[in-house]
Amino acid sequence: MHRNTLFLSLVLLFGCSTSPSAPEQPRVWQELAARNLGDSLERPLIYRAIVPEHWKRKNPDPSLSIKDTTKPIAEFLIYDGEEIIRLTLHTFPISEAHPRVSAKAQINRWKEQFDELDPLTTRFIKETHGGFSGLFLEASGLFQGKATSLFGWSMQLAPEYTRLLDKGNKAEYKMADYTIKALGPNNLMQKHRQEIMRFAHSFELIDELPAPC
Amino acid sequence: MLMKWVKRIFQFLGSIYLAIILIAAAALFVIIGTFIESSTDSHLLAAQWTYHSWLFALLLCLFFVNILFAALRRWPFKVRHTPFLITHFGLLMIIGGTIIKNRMGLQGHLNVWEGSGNQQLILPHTHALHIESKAGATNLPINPEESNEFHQPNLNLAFKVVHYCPHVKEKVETWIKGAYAYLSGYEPIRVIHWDDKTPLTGFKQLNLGDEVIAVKTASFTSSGRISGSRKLTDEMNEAVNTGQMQELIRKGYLHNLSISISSKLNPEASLQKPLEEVIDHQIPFDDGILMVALSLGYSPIEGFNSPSIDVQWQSNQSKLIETTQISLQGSRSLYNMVQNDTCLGISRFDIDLYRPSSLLLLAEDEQEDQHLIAFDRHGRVHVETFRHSGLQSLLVYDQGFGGYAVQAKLPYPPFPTGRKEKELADQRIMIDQIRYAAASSTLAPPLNLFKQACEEAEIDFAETFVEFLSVWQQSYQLLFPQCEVKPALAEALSHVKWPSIEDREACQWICLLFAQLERPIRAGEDLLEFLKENRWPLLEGITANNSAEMLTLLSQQIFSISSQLPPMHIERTLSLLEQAKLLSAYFKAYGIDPRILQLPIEEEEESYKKFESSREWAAAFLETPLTIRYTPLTPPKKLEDRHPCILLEFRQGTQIEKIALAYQPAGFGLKQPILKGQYIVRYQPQTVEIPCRIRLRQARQIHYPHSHQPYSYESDILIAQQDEPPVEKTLSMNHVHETWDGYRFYLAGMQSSTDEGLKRVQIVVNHDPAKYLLTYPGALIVFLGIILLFWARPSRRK
Repeated sequence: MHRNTLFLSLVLLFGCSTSPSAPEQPRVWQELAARNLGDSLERPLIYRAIVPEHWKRKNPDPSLSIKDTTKPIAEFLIYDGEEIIRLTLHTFPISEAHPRVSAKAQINRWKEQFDELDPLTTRFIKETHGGFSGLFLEASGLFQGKATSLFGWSMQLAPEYTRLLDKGNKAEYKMADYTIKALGPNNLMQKHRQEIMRFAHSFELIDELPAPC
Repeated sequence: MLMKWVKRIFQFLGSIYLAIILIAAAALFVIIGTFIESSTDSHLLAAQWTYHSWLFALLLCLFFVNILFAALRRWPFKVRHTPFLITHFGLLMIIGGTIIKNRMGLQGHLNVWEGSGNQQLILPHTHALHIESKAGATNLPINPEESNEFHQPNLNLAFKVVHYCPHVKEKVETWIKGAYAYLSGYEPIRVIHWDDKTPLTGFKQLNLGDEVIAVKTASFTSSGRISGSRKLTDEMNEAVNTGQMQELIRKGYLHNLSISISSKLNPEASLQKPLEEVIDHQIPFDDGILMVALSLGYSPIEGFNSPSIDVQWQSNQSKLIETTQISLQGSRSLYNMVQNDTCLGISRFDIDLYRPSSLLLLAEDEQEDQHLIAFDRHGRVHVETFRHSGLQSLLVYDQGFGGYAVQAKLPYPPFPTGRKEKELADQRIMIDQIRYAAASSTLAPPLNLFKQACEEAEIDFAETFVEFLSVWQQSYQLLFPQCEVKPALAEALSHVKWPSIEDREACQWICLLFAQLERPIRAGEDLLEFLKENRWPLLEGITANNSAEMLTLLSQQIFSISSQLPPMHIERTLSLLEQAKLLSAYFKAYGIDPRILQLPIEEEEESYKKFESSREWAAAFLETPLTIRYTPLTPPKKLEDRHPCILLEFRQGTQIEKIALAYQPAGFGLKQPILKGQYIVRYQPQTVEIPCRIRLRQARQIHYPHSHQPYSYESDILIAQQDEPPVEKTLSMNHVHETWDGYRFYLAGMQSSTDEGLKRVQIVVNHDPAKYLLTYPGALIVFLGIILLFWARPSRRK
């Protein structure tokens, strides 16, 4: 009797198991260079992010200057059948000549790029990650005549860290503000939503920021 | 004999009697701990007396010895002893693990900000001094209750604890520090203890840019001996409420403030007196009685709540009552806003406030919060409150090595910004708007008529039209008055060419009607009643509940029936002023009257951008060094609520400096500069470096759907250990991470300065070095031993 009870207890104790979780897409850390400043073509490597391996990365020609902030620092293409999602990264160095553009202004500019914006699916929320704070925009509507969705992040170095901008030895932070914009067909964007979100939330400076306190 | 005693001791150490004594002692510890915790509400105090005491450590050791000897007493071991020995071996492992954990384990927390990393574990309830120079930082463990001298050879610095106080109250001091008020760049100003019977005297003149500001300070606390910002005092501060903040502010506001009131209808009626003499008195004025009331609506928590001056005038001749309100704060400030229903919608009086110089009042209330109250030359009010418990903003000089300060902005520019200047500025805005409208859209017929006249006279339409309205407004007449006009306006009026005889005749009818209405309106009679009594035929159409609107409606009625009215033949040429009156009637029929000069005003802070001179203006800032005052208090029973403080003496060469520092249990807060800013120091818990570096990538609150109610907190972290790639993990309230070497990370809290601000998380770290070697295997062995005991018992029976 005792033995049976003991055996039953052991079965109950060790008989539980969790169902195996769905396999994840393989992802790797990738480092990304910031925009070149001045006449030098040197682009300092300051960012990193976790990128799904199936994304195709497109870097700007290293022999050309990307001083112009309308040019992306990198582009990722997510192919799915005949369709494609284009994810572009821009950085915005701060200087006397280029004061900071507010995150709200950037978001409004993206909204205006739509021919028609669906107000029911458009929302923006405040976000902070990796020491940056800003806004996340999710919008859909007609874009160049096609039903398109947009996920956009306009992020700036958080106010707690902005005093670093004034320090000479942390000049690279002056180029830290960035935007991430992913644009693609509605269904495709929803399908890849999680991996785009994870990419955006993993985007950070390679070096840690010093603690503000 | 000796062997006998050794044997007896051996038997006793492994006996059931000792086991019972030890179990009873453990129970006693539990009882004592429970009693202490329930009576003091302090888990920490209970732990100090029980589980963290050396007696409890001894008890654990005795348990270890008792179990060990109980097993050894079975020597020589036989097969049947196996379950018993296994169980005892397991128990020894568990107790051994507990002893090792108590001696070598770690329990503390990490503060990590989004974007940054940390591996300095803060050990709660320990004491250390954090010393930082520009070259680096060090954390020195100290015993605050011992006055040993510590030397830091690498910094050439020595310090010792001069005094320890187990519990203090911390007060952030800004403008008023003890007996003086401090404004950076100015001589200290003595604080007076004010009560509502004390007259406000002794104002001090300060040069602040172009402004001359008189400063008066007042304190409501009798603060005993003020011992300086960084020194401890043994005297208790006795808080005595010696006055009322509202009364102080009222008296300060009335200081040197004059009011001038002039009637638009009667140039003879004019009054200029100190506001204090006028307030709450009945004053004969302009054939009526004038009452002036001041409502500052001040509360130390919310500041000024719609502060205003209300001027009520009641006619001696009639029932007419007119109330004008002058707001003292915000973009509506200083305008004469008529409160009751009048036919003109504008005030009968021009009311202005004036004081010779702006006034600044620095006051400390009974809660020890400080208030900087500014009154400008035109009567506006402004307040900034600096709470003793914390500040909303802070100036940090040279990362703290240069000290800390707070700043207040004086929002009043040096150039005149009174009511008249504001109205002139509004008129300029109106002129620009009319210019834009005239160029881009179709104008109403009377405006078009006036515009054509201006074009023919080759004068600016917008400016002349605003001048026309301004003269009309200043006259307080239903239609344009009989008065002198500027040449440009006269020139424009001389070129007015009526588009049709019908329109002009309609305007003449309006003039006639308004002449009839003038008397009842002046007498304050009900206009609708008057129209009923005089059998106005179109009463059904009058739905306006506002007299000014009603006049517009009557004008429009006349316009619509003008073709049915008898012709009015005017052979002679109209004078300029008759022309102006007709034109004003024409405007009235289209709802245009002097009220449009009052621009729609948003409820917000005053903006001086509309003043031309503001281009050269920069706001004045006042600044004061930030200091912290500590007052010793009787320590509470609950240890967790205690806020200890130490007085330290630093020595470097011949330099000696004393500073009081309160304990910062979270390991952050302001570091105070010492020795002329060579170092910054903070009294905080000890820190220890753990082998894992935690980098916080994102901290977030997860809300219930469609709600702002959080149901969970999550943090994405990167854990980097030496020579290993960083590991990505998400911590949440119920999701703990543990490294292979036994470091466990729990998410304990999340804070952010603002909604959109950077987040800081507190991660509790726990490390038990014996857990996998002793405690868990010991538990498993005990489990196996118990099973074997069960197993063996039936066979023994056989």
